[in-house]
Amino acid sequence: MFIGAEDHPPPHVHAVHSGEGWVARFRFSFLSDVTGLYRFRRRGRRPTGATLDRVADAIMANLPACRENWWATHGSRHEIGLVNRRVETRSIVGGDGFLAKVGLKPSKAAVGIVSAGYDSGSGRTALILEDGRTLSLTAGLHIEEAAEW
Amino acid sequence: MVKDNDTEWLLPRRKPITKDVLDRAIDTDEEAASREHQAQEAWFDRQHGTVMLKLTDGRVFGAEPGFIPSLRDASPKQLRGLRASDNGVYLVVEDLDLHISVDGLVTRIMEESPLAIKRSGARLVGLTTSPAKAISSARNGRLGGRPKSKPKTAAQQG
Repeated sequence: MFIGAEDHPPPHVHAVHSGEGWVARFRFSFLSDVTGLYRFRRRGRRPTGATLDRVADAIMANLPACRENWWATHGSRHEIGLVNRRVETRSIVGGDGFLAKVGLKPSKAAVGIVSAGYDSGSGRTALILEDGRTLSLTAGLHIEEAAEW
Repeated sequence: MVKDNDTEWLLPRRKPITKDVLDRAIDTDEEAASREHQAQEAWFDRQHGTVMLKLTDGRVFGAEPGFIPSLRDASPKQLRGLRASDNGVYLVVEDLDLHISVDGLVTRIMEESPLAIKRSGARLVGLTTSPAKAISSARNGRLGGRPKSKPKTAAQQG
């Protein structure tokens, strides 16, 4: 398994099985603790769902390392898959004191994200919004919607 | 007034990988792969100190390692092991445990070429609208606008 250099967003991990001749790409998030099968290519037979589930479980267990590696490799170009998407927030008790959601169908209240960064030391994702606000979010405590999960 | 639905504010959870999920991922890959560059072959040209890749469409690209951030610090010895992966999606440098996306690399080399930046900049400037441009366009229009194109002669039509 590896994170490719010069790769395109969204953030993803490649899982390669040379023996069975398949490559699976699993997407992950800098906001939510989640992963999902994103792209899959094979030469031979399909693997079972259980095999791919085990890969997904391994990614889930290593999400901080995945985020750190993706940010180290692609951070200079600010590609963590959130720029130009829209975020909305609501107050909650606990966590960061608010919940941020980057939805697939954002509401009118959602604001555009102009820049996104990640600090692997603190595990926090920073979003700069088009209205000038900056949101500092604990990775894993917020919502990124995607077709893959 | 529509109220927020709380079910839309739940933290996402990983779903089991079913046949439908796998089918969709295969379709996504096929669709995306048709729009992506893939390498048939890749090698390090020691004589010219250049990373070379031949794409599946027959084009050949080359760049000095300095243009490729992940290879900037690689030694010629390490680069000798550079090869394309079996599926052509990435370049592999075993010594560095490094995988480089072929499509991302080719796109980057082309996008970051100073000439390409200059051209796309000029195109963007051309697409920009402004009140001054509108006034100028209207003024030119009052002068008769663009000259009508003349019908092509038989010789021009070939």
